[in-house]
Amino acid sequence: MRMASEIDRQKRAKRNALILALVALGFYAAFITLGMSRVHG
Amino acid sequence: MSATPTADTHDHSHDQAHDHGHDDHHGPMKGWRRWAYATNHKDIGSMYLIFSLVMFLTGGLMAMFIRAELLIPGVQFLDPAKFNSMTTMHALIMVFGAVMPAFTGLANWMIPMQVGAPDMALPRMNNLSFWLLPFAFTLLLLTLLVPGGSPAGGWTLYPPLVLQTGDAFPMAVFAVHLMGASSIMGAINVIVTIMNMRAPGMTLLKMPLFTWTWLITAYLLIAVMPVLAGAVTMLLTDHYFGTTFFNAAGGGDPVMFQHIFWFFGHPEVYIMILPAFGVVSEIIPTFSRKPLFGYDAMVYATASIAFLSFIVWAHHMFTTGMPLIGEMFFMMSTMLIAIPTGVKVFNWTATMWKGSISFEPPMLFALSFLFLFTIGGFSGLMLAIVPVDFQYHDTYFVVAHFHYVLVPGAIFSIMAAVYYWLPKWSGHMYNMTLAKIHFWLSAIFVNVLFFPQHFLGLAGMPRRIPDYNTQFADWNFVSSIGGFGFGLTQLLFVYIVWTTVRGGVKASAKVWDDAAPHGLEWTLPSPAPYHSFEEAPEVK
Repeated sequence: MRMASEIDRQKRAKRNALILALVALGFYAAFITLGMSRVHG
Repeated sequence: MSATPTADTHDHSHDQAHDHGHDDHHGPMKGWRRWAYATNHKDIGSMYLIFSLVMFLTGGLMAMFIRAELLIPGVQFLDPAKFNSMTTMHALIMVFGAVMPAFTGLANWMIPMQVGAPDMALPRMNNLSFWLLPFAFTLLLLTLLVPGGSPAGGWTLYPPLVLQTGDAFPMAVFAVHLMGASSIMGAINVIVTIMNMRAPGMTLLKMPLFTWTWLITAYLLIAVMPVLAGAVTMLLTDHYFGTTFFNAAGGGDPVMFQHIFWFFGHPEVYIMILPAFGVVSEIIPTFSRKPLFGYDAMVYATASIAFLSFIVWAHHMFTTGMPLIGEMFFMMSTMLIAIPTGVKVFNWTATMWKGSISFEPPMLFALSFLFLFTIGGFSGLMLAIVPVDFQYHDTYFVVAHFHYVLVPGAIFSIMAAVYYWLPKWSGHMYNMTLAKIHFWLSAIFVNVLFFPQHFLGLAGMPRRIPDYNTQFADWNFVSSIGGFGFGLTQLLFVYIVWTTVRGGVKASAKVWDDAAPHGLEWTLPSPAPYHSFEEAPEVK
């Protein structure tokens, strides 16, 4: 039983890590978009 | 890529669960593979700490050059461009190469042990997080050798000045990207380890303060490192691809860079100090022989500081000509930070109140943190006042302020942490007398080095100049002597750590037996076993 829950924890950790990585990418994209929106050529 | 005899030799035809069970029991690989392919949190933690020490000495050497140049008036051996290169590289190396990796190293060592986990949740990503750093800093240091020299616009990389950098510019930008990727992966690992790997019974509000402060720091990192990456990407496209994000001639605005940079930069300050708060919150209760006063308040104060760090960034830019209402807002929000910080300082003091205090090296560094960081906090409050900042901006007063926060603040806390946990890591006790000498010399010299810089700043000495008016000569001389003394003293630290790792008196499991420290890490033997908790401990 404990092994199964270990694997569950690992899976959950990987899924959460992916979500956090996407959030980080989102911030990156958002700030470049903000930069683009502020240029008035 | 051949496996060594001690590596994972089990039958790979087994199911995943069975494989996982075996993985828990193999020992370290032999030779260079142990470090290159490291997935163990202790090995990676050690590599982070050693890397950080090398960077600390490299950045420190640059500081020695800076203080040698400023020892007496007149240009000695660094022309203005090289001087500014030195200050820029010193800052980038100390911030991204010394302080941040040191805290990540401490996190790697301590978080799995403090939450009762066998290792970090994502060990392979942990390996990648670390190994990006040597490449990033090799690239950054190589900028010293390319035509045009290394970046000289300050660690803030403000355009248009930074765009005048020669061939080093894309190297520096790429190095910053690598550091950012490393930090983000490290932060993700910390969050998922804490959120998914805690031992049964280890609820969030039972976690040690060091783990708590790192959890909050990790969220800050994920929020702001991509912002820095975005800012330097825009610098890169402005330089090479004809965009005009920060060029008024093309409809852009250089001040926008400052806003974006400091939206990263101010939380970055807290990224470097919140884990320090965590370290001090571990050490003061141990050596006061009392539980931490106001544990919940400490957690909420840390979270409040993290929140406020997102709404104060423009206090770095009061002299750029913001609307008055903006200046008022950022002045007030900055002053608000004094409230949760005051809660912390009060709680540390109250923890000591009527405690049975002893002054071992970790406690000496933690107490000196308490006094000297508070001086940095107060000079920060002075700088938060808009009309006052108009006078102090870009003077040595600012240099004195942030060095008080970062050196006797962040760096003293790292030294406190090393002196607190090194016997647990190495299994040996260090030479107490030498460590106390290291403390006293550091504490005296750091004040000789930085306190006179307040006077220089108030008298009007600007930052980032290799030469100065003779009216500033005396205090610059004193400051440089303090700098050389502080720099030399750190060689003693290297000696103490080296000899302790190599051997010495055996440390017990609790290390500080008569102080009876609390926390799961002290339930493990010293040195801590290769895998921390193969069976999850029950936390009551």
